Amino acid sequence: MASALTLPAPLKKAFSLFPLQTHPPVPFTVRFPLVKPTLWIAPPRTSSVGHVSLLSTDVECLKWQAYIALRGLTDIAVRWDIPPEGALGGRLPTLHIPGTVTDGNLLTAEDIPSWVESQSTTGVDALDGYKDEHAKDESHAWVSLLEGVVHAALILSGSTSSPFDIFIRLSGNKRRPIEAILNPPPAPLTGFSSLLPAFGANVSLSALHLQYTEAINVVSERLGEDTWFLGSANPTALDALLFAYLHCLLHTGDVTRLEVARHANLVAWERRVKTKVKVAFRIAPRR
Amino acid sequence: MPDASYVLHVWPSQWGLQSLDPTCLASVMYLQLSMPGKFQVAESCDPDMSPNGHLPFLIHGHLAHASFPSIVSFVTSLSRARASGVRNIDASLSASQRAQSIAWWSHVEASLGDLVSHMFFGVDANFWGLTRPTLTSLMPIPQRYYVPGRIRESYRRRLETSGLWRSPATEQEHKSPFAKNEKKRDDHTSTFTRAFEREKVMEKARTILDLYARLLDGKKFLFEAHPTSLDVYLAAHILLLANPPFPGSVLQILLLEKYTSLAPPYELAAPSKPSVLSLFTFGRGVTKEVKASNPDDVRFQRMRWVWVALALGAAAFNIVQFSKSIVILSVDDDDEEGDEDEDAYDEGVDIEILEEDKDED
Repeated sequence: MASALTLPAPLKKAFSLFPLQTHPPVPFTVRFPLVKPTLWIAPPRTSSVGHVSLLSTDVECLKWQAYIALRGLTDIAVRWDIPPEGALGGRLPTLHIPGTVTDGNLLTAEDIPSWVESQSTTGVDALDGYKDEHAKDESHAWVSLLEGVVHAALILSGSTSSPFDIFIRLSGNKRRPIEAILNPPPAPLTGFSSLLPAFGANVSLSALHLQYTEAINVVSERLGEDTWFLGSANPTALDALLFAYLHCLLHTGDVTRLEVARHANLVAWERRVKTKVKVAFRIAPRR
Repeated sequence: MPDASYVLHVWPSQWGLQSLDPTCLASVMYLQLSMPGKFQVAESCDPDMSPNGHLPFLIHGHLAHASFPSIVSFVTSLSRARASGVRNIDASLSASQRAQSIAWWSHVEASLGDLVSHMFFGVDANFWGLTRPTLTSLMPIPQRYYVPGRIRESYRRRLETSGLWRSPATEQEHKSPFAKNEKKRDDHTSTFTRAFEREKVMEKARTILDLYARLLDGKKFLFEAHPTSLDVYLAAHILLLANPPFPGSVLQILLLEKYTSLAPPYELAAPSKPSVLSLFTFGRGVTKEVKASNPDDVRFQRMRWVWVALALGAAAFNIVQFSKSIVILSVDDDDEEGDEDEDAYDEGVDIEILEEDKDED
């Protein structure tokens, strides 16, 4: 069939003139050459002193940073020049590991635990590091408490260090808007029965703050004087999540920060875990 | 000081349960346990009456408390005043038990709450077959056409995030009479995707229900020998998963067949035992009162009707008098100054203006 249709000779001659000009390939250098596993995170907080902290301002990224660090891995590089749209799956964090492919492999956040398992020397733990089955079940309850009320209070706490952070926070929230965090979902501001189209979310900040206060109280109560939450012998994923939330809460506005700062055991615990987490990360070397 | 009553506004009762919403059902049960006979239940279909846009809400005098946690904290504060006769059913929990109870509470709210809203609003067959007709039958005329859809829309974001939106739970599909031949080829892939989606939802439900079965572990209640607020909240969700007659009922069948340890303590308890479900069989102490019989309100209503009657009477009187003074001007421009009206001042003014206009012409 291909032989029946051929290009007529004048057309072939005309097409052979193109391309008119071919430029040589532009060499580009990779900004951050991949030497060690690199974690792409949201930008960390810059303090006025000028010392750059390596802990991200975003709870998701910080949670995974803490998870990697608490599982004992060290010497992980971080970079924060990539916006969320450039990361795998459209959201940060993403892990870039040197692998068999020349450019390395990209892993989404969900694949990080399996990579950590492959790097660590300990065997597979059915209880995931928790004391017993009961503690493992209870950890689900604490996760939903932290990711529900505490996350909502963090988002709505409303104070930022600079006006630009507001844009970052609002744009990063497309994945989990306030309507998806609270259950039952907040009613529209215009009401269900009004003739206006549904708009906004009717969230009662005072009621939410009451629930948040109670949540922080019980977290402090449950932590007590334990080294790790729920009395585990070694740090678990729940510890990483709790550290991420405590760290972000301690850097928010007055009212939410005060609730956490009121509990000395939470502040001391967060400080201790922060030293452990910071040790594991380096800034990615630029070329 | 007159004793103001506690009125709880909830969604109406359906399917043998006191309300069709899990938080409303839980608040009715909770109030029945802590202050039996001291509160009234008002059935309402208008969530906009509430301060936060959702039912349930509790009104006491001028205070309104919306959402189940606020109601619980209000009742707990009431129970501290010994003269009020209100019990705090969580009082016997130790501090660590209370901490665990609050964590489990948020897990019930998030995971079981998602399953309940998935069954009511996420599954198409259930929404069009059960939820929407029920809500439509309860609501008045203009609201019944658009409010159920709006309520469903408000759940969409949350269910999409947890992956429980629009999963087909039944074998029924939309059969178009014209697409018989094309369907045969597409049927296989669509059957596979539907089965896959359904299996994902069932797997999620199984994990959650396993968790609660392990937590309950054969005991009657979760912490003590008597129900606490967490038991009430859990029971409300499970009852709303087990009782309503869902068209797409795969999850319901899973709950009733595989998780019998969760279902019977909350369903088949005999009324003599002090267990959670004995509240429903007789409804003792729960009075349903829709209108307030306050003498002040009655007087207000009577005065309002008197005012309306007077206003209508005065309007009718004015119209009659005005119509008498309307003058039909004929073409030949005679002096039509008859019918000077001496009744109402304003009509007199109108006639004068008419005369002035005539003079200017």
